Amino acid sequence: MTEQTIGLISFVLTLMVFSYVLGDLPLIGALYRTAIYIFVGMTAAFTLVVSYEGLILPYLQDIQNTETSWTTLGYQADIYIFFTALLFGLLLLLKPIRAFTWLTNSAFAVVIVVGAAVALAGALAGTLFPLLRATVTIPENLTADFSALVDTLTVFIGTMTGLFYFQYQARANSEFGEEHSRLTRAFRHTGKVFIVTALGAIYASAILTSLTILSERISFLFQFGF
Amino acid sequence: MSEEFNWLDYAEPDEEAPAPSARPGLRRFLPRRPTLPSLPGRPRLPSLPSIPSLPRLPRLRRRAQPALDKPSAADLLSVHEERPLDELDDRLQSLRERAVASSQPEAEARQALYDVDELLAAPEILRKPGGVISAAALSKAQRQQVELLKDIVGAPQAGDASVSRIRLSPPLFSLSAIPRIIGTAVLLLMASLPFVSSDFAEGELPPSEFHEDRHGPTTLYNLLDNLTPADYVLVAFEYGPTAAGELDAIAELFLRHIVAQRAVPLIVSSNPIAIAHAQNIISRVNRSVAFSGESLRHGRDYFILRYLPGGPLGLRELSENFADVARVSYKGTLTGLQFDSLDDVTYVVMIAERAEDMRNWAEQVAPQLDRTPLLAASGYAAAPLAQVYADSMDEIVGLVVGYRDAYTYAEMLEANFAELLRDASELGSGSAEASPAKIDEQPRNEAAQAERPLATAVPPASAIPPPAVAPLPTTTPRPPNTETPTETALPTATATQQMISVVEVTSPRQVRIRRGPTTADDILQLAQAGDMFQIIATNGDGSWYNIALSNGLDGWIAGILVEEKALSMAEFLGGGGEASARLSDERVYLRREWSLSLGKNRPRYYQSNAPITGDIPEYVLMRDRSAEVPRLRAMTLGTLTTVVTIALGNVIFALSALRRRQRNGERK
Repeated sequence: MTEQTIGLISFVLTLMVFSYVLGDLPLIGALYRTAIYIFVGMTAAFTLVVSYEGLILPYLQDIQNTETSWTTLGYQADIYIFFTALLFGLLLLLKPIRAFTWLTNSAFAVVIVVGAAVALAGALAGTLFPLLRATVTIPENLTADFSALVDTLTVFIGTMTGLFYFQYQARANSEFGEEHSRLTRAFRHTGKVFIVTALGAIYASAILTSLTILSERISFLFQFGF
Repeated sequence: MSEEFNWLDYAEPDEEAPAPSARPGLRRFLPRRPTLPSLPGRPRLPSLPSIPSLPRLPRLRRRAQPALDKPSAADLLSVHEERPLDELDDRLQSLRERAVASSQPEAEARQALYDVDELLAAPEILRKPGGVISAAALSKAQRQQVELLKDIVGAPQAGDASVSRIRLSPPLFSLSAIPRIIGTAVLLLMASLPFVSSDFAEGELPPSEFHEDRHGPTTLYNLLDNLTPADYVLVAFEYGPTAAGELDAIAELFLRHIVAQRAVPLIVSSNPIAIAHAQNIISRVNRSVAFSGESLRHGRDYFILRYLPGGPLGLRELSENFADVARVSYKGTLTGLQFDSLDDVTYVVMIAERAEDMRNWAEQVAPQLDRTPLLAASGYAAAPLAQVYADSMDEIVGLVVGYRDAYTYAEMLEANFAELLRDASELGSGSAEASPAKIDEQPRNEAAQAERPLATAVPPASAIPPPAVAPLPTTTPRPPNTETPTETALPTATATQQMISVVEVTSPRQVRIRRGPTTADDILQLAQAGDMFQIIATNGDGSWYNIALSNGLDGWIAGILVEEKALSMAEFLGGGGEASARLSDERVYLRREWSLSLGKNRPRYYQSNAPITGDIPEYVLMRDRSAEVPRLRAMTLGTLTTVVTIALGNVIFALSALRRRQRNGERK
């Protein structure tokens, strides 16, 4: 397929996606929906092909040939891994049969628990501890550099008050349900300001991302059309 | 009804139910599982007792059967729930009183309305043949109420037939879409005008170098610029077509920079679509490389590794089992690459679209890296979180953010590129003959170029002698940078018995070589334990050493991390000296060739002191930048338009609210 053909297809699909500007209407919306269906279908198909070629096929080739074991675990271990994965896959296929749903759920439970454990360990080692360390770290040139001082104070106050905002424990009060001290309320409100500011910054970044993509597409349309 | 119900004295009237003694302890207070209704035609298991005399109802309904002919939920509650009020504690009694008091007005209002149930009933949905909803039919009472409401609000009356049907299918064109269409059209217009006319060039372009305050991007650039042949760089494409407009530029620049240093990118992703997209980027690079006679080839100049499924699980596998991941390409074929761990690659470069991707890499991969830094780039949307990680984790270097930083990165690359060509053209080298015309097409800020420092790491072309390839097969095919073939194959032409002062890295961790004698200076290069460098000078108090680097430049290393030694040049060259530091005025080029052995591609290295045809970096670095400036202008104008639109919308909303309040006041 020539580049001109690829460009033409991209041009038409881009226009079809842009047709959503006119709204989700019966005739015009069909163009948008068609483009989306194509993208979703292609994505699913490509994911299937990549998963098969990159993951399943090497294992299938591997268990047929003891000479070309590509995992560090060796030929025998490859076979065990393959059949374990195959067993789990078969268990997932039993989901529609009510009598065997518990088997599917067991397989799901193992996968989810392992995933949660990995994510938890990673979150502790990769996020919580480094962020705590960064929060309590005081720069060497703190007193000399005023901007470093302001930066450190902002991070410290923002982190502390932000955490206070998510403090749900309060003294029970029969009339008002819960009662926070004035100091806690002040911390919570300050934390709310920091959180809202941070979310606003993230949202503004998202707008800039969208505009970058929009200008890229417009650039493409101009380059192809003129 | 008011009789007290005692759970403890309650006896099951059903003879089939087990006696209370069969449920000892607290279990007798728990509700029993209701019997499931049997399916018609389903055979019963012989061990289970059947209940022929009673309908197969839930237990609560069966209990109520003797007392009520038609049991309902309300009846059951009245039978089983009522308990003398004096037995309730004070808190429950007060709650009950408040609930009764609050429900009385509602009950009165309910009685005041007539046919409430009829009015609240959902209208009947009319369907066309084939199951498509066409309209909703209103009952007579509902129609009357519609007319009543129209009388109250003064709406025009319609004919009886038309009132009974409400159109559900959307019209071909809706007036409510007009504001959205106008807003989008204005945004499209403003974002496209810079492509039409330079009169709409608003806003300043990004700087030609990263700002002094931002050491991260400069360090990232320097690290990639100091790559040597036989270095392997893991490049993670964690973005798909949805962020292509923003992140393609930086991904392409990274790949060009890596390939231009004749290092090998290993592309990996936990997003299958990103793998396809990486191929597109490689094709784009190839389009500019092709005219030099040789394009990049998979399995030789770059590798795309297998897809990593499972999100965090896949990344965990990558960090702990990199040897297996690197052995299979995305096509399911063997790559022939042999690594022990992720620390065998020189750098890990990660380009993230979403904050979640950045978090996953920071959590699952970065903590596993001992020697290899993770160089990070992200889109604007992921930048707020990614910047926090880059600032707080020593393993992460960066951050290069979005399209604006990509522009700066391209400017810095182009500065080196132009410098190479200028020197090469002065020499009359064949490599520069075809290039000047191409350079003139690039948008260039001459003033900025003049102020910019010279190329930091790419060697001056004047040092390149005429091509003379001397094949030197290496003893080891393994790629890790700690055992690069360069170290075993370097010539010793400058070896003498002269004594020189060197420093040897003694720190067990990776050591940073910086541009100046402070930790605030940019990082130029990384060194491992055992690496040796020739000393050029020291700072005033001797706490930092100025050392010669492999690329002919010099850098600074902290004294507490090294040990000073006096060695003869022969000892220095024969020992574990840092590879190219021995050739301060000469650059060694390596060419890699591949041979098939037992079905696996094995690299063999040949040494040359000149670049080989097709390896000229400027061809790789060239890219089409014609749309860069209009795009940046479009982003500026689009951002302004968006902000103005949002502000105008808020003003209009506030004005209309004030007007509404004013009207309400006048009516009162």
